[in-house]
This record gives sequence, C-alpha cells and structure tokens, in this order.
Amino acid sequence: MSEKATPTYEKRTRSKTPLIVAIIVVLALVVAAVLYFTLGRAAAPREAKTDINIGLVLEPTSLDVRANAGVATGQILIDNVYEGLVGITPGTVADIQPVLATEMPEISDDGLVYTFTIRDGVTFHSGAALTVGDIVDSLTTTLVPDNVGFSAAIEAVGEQQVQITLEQPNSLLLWQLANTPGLILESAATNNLQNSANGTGPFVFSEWKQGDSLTLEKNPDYWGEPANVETATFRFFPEGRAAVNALKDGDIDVHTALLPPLRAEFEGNADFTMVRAASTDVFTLAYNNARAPFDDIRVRKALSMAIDSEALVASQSGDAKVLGSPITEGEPGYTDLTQINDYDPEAARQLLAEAGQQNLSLTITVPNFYETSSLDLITSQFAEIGVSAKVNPVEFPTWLSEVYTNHDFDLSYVDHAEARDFGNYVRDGYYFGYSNPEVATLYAEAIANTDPAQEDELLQQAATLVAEDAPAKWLFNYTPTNVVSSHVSGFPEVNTNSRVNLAGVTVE
Amino acid sequence: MTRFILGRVGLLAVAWLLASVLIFATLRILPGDVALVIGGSKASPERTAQLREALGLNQPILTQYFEWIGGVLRFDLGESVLTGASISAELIEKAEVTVPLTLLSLAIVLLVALPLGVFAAYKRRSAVGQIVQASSVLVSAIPVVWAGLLGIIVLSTWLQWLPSQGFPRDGWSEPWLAFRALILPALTIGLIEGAILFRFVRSATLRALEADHVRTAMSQGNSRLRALLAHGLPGVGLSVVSVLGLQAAALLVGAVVIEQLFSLPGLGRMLVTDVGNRDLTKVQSTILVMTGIILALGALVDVVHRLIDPRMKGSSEE
Amino acid sequence: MRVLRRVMRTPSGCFAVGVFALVAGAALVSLVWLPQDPNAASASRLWLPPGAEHWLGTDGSGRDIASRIIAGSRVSLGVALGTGVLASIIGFALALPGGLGNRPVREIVAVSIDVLVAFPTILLAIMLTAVFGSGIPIVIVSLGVAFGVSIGRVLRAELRQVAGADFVLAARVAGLSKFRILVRHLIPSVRPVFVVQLTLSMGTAVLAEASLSYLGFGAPKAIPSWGVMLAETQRYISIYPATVLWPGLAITLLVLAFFLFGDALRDALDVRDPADETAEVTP
Repeated sequence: MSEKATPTYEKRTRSKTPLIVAIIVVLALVVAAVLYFTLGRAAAPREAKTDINIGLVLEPTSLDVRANAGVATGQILIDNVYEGLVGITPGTVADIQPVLATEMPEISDDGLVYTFTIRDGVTFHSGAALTVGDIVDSLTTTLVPDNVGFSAAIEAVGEQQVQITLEQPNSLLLWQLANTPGLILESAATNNLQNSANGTGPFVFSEWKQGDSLTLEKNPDYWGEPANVETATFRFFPEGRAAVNALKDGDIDVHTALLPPLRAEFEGNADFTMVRAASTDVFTLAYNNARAPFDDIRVRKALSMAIDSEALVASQSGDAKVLGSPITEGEPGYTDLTQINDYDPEAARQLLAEAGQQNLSLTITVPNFYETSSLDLITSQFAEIGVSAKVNPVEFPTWLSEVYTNHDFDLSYVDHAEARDFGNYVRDGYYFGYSNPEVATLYAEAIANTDPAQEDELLQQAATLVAEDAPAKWLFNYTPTNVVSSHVSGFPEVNTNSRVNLAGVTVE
Repeated sequence: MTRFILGRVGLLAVAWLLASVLIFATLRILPGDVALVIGGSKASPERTAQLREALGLNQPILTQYFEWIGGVLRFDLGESVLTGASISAELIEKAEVTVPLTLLSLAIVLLVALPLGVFAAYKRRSAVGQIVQASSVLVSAIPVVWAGLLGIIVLSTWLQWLPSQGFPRDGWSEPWLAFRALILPALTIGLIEGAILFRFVRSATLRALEADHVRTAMSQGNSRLRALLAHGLPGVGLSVVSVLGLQAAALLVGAVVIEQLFSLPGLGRMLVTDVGNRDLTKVQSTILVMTGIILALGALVDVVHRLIDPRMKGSSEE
Repeated sequence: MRVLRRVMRTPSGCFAVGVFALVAGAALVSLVWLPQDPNAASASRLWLPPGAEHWLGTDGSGRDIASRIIAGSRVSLGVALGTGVLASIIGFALALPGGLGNRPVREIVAVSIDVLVAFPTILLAIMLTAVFGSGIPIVIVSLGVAFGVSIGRVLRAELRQVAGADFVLAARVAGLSKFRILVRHLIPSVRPVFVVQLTLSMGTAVLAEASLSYLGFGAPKAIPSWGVMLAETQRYISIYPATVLWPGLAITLLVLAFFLFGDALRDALDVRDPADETAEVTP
C-alpha cells in the first residue's frame, strides 16, 4: 500500500502511456491492413455486359406519361416503352418518321385528312395485339384543344387504317403525334398507369424503385429490330457529384446532362467520351407581362438588355448557345434574332429612367433543382442597371401552383425543354401573361399552312415580333453534355433531355 | 412495475395521437397543390378539379384526418397519390436500407463512445486522455456533409476501399455488397454522433469517479479502475441509456442528409423527394411512422431506465 | 465574470474566446467593409485560384470567396445566437412546469416534450420552410423549437432529481419559499447542465444550418452564408476542393469554439460541486 505513494510507482503509471499509444497504433495498422485486403479488392476485369445503366438528373414523379409535367417520364418511356404512329427520327431534333404506321400518312389535298396504315403483328407488352381501336381510343383522349390546342376527329377505316380529320390544316399534327399526345396505349389494359407502363416498344417496363432506379427489360416479341441490350436501368442522381462518382465506380455507363463545371472530371479520360447533345431546351427568364411594371415594354426591354447572354453561355462551360428568340436552331421558324434587345446596360438604364422605374426590386421564382450560377450572374447584371433581384428557389410543385397556375410572380426562371413550343406565346392564360394579336394571327396562319417553307417564313415573322416585345429573356439554348463510357456505342446524341431512345445502343 | 409499463404505453399512445394531429395540421397548410402535380402543367382546370375530388381533397379537413388515422390504425397507410403504390410496401422497401444503416451507425456510435468515453475520463489527466477528448470535440464539430465528402475523397477516391455512393440494386441478395455500401455512410454519421455520445459517457464517468460510493470503494482498498468498473459503471450505463433513445432518433433523422449525400434509396431520401412532390399522404404516413418509432424508443428507454435505476423505484413519477 | 476569467485560463477557453472574437469581429467589420462585393458574379473570373485580388479565389459564379466567408459569419453567428435565445426560453418554459409543477401539469408537459422531441428537427424545418418560405428566421425558429425542447427535456429530468435532493428537502424544511428555493437552489444546481446544453445547442445550430442548406432549406441565396457556400460547392469537391474546404473549415472552427467554450465553462462551473451545495444549504 505504501508503494502507491512512492515516486517510482508514479513513474511507472506514466510510462504506460506510450505503451497504450503503441497498442492503439498497432491496432489501427492491423485494422487498416485487414480493411485494405478485404475491401480493396481491385476492380475485377469487366465482363462482357448485356445491360446498360444510365444516370438521369431528375426522377419521374409518376409514370403516367400522358399527364405528367416533368420531363423525366417521357425521357425514359417514350420510344423505349411507348410508341406512336410516328416518332422522331433518331439523331434529329424534329424530323418525323413512321413507327407504328407502316409509312408516313397520306394527307388529303386540303390538308385536313390524314390516313395512317398500321403495322401488322404489333403486340402490347401485356400480350394483346395492337388494334385500330386502341389507336382511335388513345388519340381521341389526347387530341383535344386543352391538350394540343386543336381538335380532331379520329376514326377507324377497316382493320388496318386510321383517319384523323382536322377542322383546319395544322402543321403541328404530325409533331404532336410524334410526341406524348401521339403515344398509343392499350384500351383494355387494367394496369395502374401511375406506377407501371404497358406499350408496344422495344423495352418492357420491369421495376421502379422510387428514389433509386427504373428498370426496363428487352422486349423479345418486339415487332421491329430488337434491342441490343437485355436490361436498361435508369438511375437517378439529383446530385452531380454522386453521378460523377457512380460513373467512375462503374455503377453507371452513361450520365445525361452533366453539370457544366464537372466536365473537368472527364477531360482527357480515355474511358469516357463527352458528347454535347443538340436540344431544344430554352432557359427562359419570363416576365409577368400582365403585372406592373412588366406591362411596360420599356421595363421588359431594359431587363432583357441588362443581361449579357455571352457571359451566361461562358458560365455554362460551352454547354449552351446564345439565343435571341424562343425558337432554337433546327426548329421551323428559327432565325438569328440575337441582335434584338441585345446586351446594352447603358440603354437599359435609360429605358428604366424613361419608365420611371430606377429602383426596381424583383423576385425571381425558380424551381430548386437547377444549377444556380447563371442566376448569380443575372442578379449581378441586374444590379449593374440598378435593379435588385432576389432569387426564390421553390419546389417544382410550388412553382407550378404559384407561377404556372396562379401567375403570382415577378420573374420566373425555367427550362422550356419542349420543341415547337412557340405556341405558348399566343396561348391565352399562359403564365407569361403576354398577348400580341399580330403574333397570334401570324402563328395561326403559319400552322394552318401546308407549305413548310411558308410556315417557316411566317413563324420567323412571328418570332421577330415576339423578340421585339421582350415578354421574356431567352437566356440560352442548353445543349447538355452526356458522358458516355467508352464501351457503350450508339447512345443518342440529340435531345436527350426529352427522350433517350435506346434502340440502337450496344454495350461491349 | 406492470402498472408503470402500462401507464407508459398509454402515454405513448396519447403522444402518438398528438403527433398525428400535429403532422396532419402542419402538412395541410403546405402551399402547392398535389392535384396540380399529378395533373401536370398541361392539365385543364376541369381535370385538376376531378383529381381533387378523386383524392378526397375536397372533403372537410376533419373527415380527411379521421379517414387517414383510421386507416393507419388498421395498418393501412394508404397509397401514394402520385404513383398509386402502396405506402406500407414502399416503407418496408426503404427501411431495408435505413434500418441497417441506423443500426450500423448505432453500433459504431457505441463502439466509439463507450470505451473511449470511459477511457478518457479515467485518464483525464494523461496526454492520451486529453488527445482523445480533444479529437472527440473536433469530430463532433464537423458538418456531416463535409465529413461525408472528406470520407469519400479519402476512402473512395484515393484509397478506393469503399464505394463512394449508391446501394446495390438487388438489395441484400448480395449481403456483402450491400453492407459495403453502408460502411462509409455509417462511419460518417456514426463517428460524428459517436463523438457526441462520447461527451455524455465521459462526463458520466467523471461524475461516477467522484460519486460517494465509488470513492468509498476506493477508500476500501480497491484500485481506482476496479472501483470505477465495479461501482461506477452502472451509473454510467444509466446515463447512456437515457440519451440512447435520442441518439437513435438523431441517427434516424441524420439519415435524411446521409442518404442524400451517398445516394442511398432509404426512407430519408424518399421523404425529401416526397415533400418536394407534395405527396401528402405519403409524407404524412412516413413521418407518422418515423415519429412512432422514435416515440416507442423513448418509451423503451424510460422503461429500461426505470428498471435499472434504483433511485426511480420509490419515486411517484409514472 | 469570475467564471469567464476561469474559462480564459484554460487553453480551450482561450481558443474559443479567440474564435468568437474573430468571428464576431469579422461579422462587425463586414457590415461596413468587405474586400469585394460578396454577391458580384462575373463570368470572366470563374473558379480563380487564390491571389492578391481574390484572397481565397472565386467560386463557380465568379464571386469572391474571402468576402463571402467574412460576410457569412453574420449568418452563422446570428443563427447560433437566435437559436440559443429561443431555445433557452422554450427550454425553461417547458422545464419549470414540467419539473416542478403538480402532477397533471408535469404529465402534460412530459407528453408534449415526448411528442415534440420525436419530431425530427430537419422535418420541422422543411415543413416550416414550405409553409412560410425559406429564410434565416425559419431556420432559427425550427432549430430553436427543436433544441428548446431537448433542453427542456434534460432540464426537466434534472430539476426532478434536484427537487428530490436532500439539500432541497432541507431548504423546504427550513421554511424557504418555493420561489427562493427555485432561484437559490434549483436553478443554480441545474445551471451547469443548462450551460452545457445551451452551448452544445448553439454549436449544433450552426451545423444544422449547414445540413438544412445542403437540403435546400437554409438561408436564401442572396445572403452569403457558410452553409449555402458548402452546399453550392460540395459537388465540385474533387475538382475545386479549396472552394469547399473554406466554408467547411469556417463552420468547424466556430462550432468547435462553441463546444470547447461549453466544456471550459462547465469545468469552471463544476468547481461548485453538488457536495459543496449540500453543505451550504444544510443549516
């Protein structure tokens, strides 16, 4: 007992400390070594694969392809699971080719009656054969003014033909038929459209694990050229970093719409190629034209002139093109309008002074899934002309209800991904709150025109008028970069933000 | 004792019902209309109205509440208004990721906090004790997101030991792969939460070392260590048990951030997505189930606490 | 003051006070002067490395990181203080009736605390954000409520225990009024626990702000804040690690200061051992 008090004992206790440190260090080393040998198994050599994993940024909220607002549902299901009488030719933005129809329709001379002959031997994934009845039912549901802006009568002619009759010629009919409204669903099907899909395409819907992935299997009974891959899995990466890691880990073979600054991750990496997909995406800063002060054209012009589109495009690392109107290159009606209301902060300030709006304070409502560096630039550029802008990121549903439905906003920042959506600028009650009777007349004439050249000319005139009116700033045409692993070939290179057609894709 | 447990269970039921009212009330004030989301931007006002009717959104709020809670009591959590999928089925599917993740993190928390906490208190004046103490404070001060990112860089990008994100699509059919996917996320949150529990364990041990009965044991000739282990630890265990329920809850909730960071298809990530999509019924039911679990854990902790705490036996608290 | 001096005598206390001074100083200075406009974006200077003009470089929108870090101190400090004040109020408001009231009151408070504690902080914040829009006040309110409840829970348990302790019984026997017992014995004896909980909560509030910002429910974009900076740049960590390191480091330092300060404070307060108090009270 007395030993406890002696200095020698004290010394011995202290000398234990290094021992404990040593034990801990050794333990840590052992653990590290064990971990290294068990976990650090070098990536096994890749076996030949028959499946492909594709990373997408947004996940569908529902699989109901007709009703859904987001782009993700169509991205996955159109072409792969659902098909229409006609579709978009792979590799183009807006060229149309027959799909479930044997050839392009016969069109009557007055442009009112379209006659389609349907393919033989097409079956739905449920096993039922495609009939003219399915086509009539599907199109009768979707070709209504609320949905497509015009009405049409659809009837079967015998067992093999379907006739669509319009009230007036409409150049948009084939376009609509090649997109969501034209998709053919089985009339007798009883599946829940919100969480399953039953179409005629080269892939069969297999499983949707929400928050993770959606899987398609090859359709062995496909009427056309069967798919090259057995399984296609779409995985969802709202987070750019996770997608990059997944690509590098080999969890996904392709990632669509890589965040521009992340390009640096793959530059000079031979395992991946980066492909910039042409698209019709227009990032649109819409002004609430119906509300003061945006009902004053001087204010709208001033805001448009405050924005330096070149700088915005530069901030996208080249994944964007400057745009002067809502119509992108490759769509009918495109003409270079970048000179109209071009960047000129001095003139913008003057216009604001004329309008008596030197101290504008605005809110930009924006769905929260966009990368926001371009918004930082916009608010900075607005500040240059004395306009203070606040960015209000909201959930997409909130954007839908506040901006889209209730028109309760100043400015809105959103990607208008659809092709041929110029009609929004003449649509009554659309959220822009913009109307110009002259544009409406020109647009109506354009789409009623059966001659494509004249249609193009009229649309150009309409677009020029709209650009002059500045109901919105068309910030840039977004051409996203897809990162494709070197063992994948044939991945679509156009418009992958709207549809990812996997028919020609092969994996080694 | 039986009376205490029964009383506690009754309390649990009341608390759970109160929580359900709270959740329902809060969520029903959310702006953003689920009918609009389902209908999409192309839906006509008529279609939206139809949807509202079909979803029961037009019924009086009380009716909606009672239909919901009645369903829950019959173990029917309802269906997602967006996808029509059964919520219970999906909760079970997501729980396959979140529950193992939470348990694994809890294991790491305990493995880190208990031995180190007792050690650091016992050796509070030695250099090692001080270092352990200091590093625990440092670790608990690191933002989870940042810690996860650093973990990814070191363990995945540099050393390539662990996958940096995701969960095997086939779930637990390949247990090793699934387990591997959870290690880094569990380490991230386990170490940080462990550092927090460590503080409790250390101070509880310090208190124990100064407690009369431990001192008495020491004065009776037991070594300091023996006195602590034999007489002090029960008190430490008591303190740990009382915070363990909260700790488990913190891990369950921490999963929201962790699952987002590591792209794990679990409950937390589902919840964030569903809140964004305004999938009201699903959010409601998910939160109710989660709060139910947390409440039950709290009750369990109380019962255990009561069972092992000699002081509580005579008290009038029920 | 004596306590503070005692705190300052420990290295961790010194460190904590130093960090507080630094952060508070930065916050004050940022009100009148910043090296650059923290919100000025420019496409001509994206992702610049640190240099003479931009001390810590620029981010993906071309904004000066150093200025944003300095200006961001206001938000973190504000969130910490706001949460602390609100949490203390809520904590005591729950703990006093819950720990010392008569039985029905205690039971009601116990149930409410149980319900509220079970309500995940992050979810509370998400729901409040969705209802009232995102913003720093919402962050403070949700964190203040959440931490207030957990402080209340701990304090309540502590008060229950202390209320049954010998020295309180003795004080009661000695005929002290309830209020005097509360002020002179009960509150002082739960003070160490309260202080530790409070500093922990304030530090944790800064952390929670970062998590909420990461999920997109934090401070608005227009106001520079460390949490938002971390959230905005975290996806580029493997290309531009420095831009992610700075806000993370700033958060860690401030939180560390709170935690260490709490420790030092508790050590300083712990000197007044429960045993001493018993001695003081016993007549």
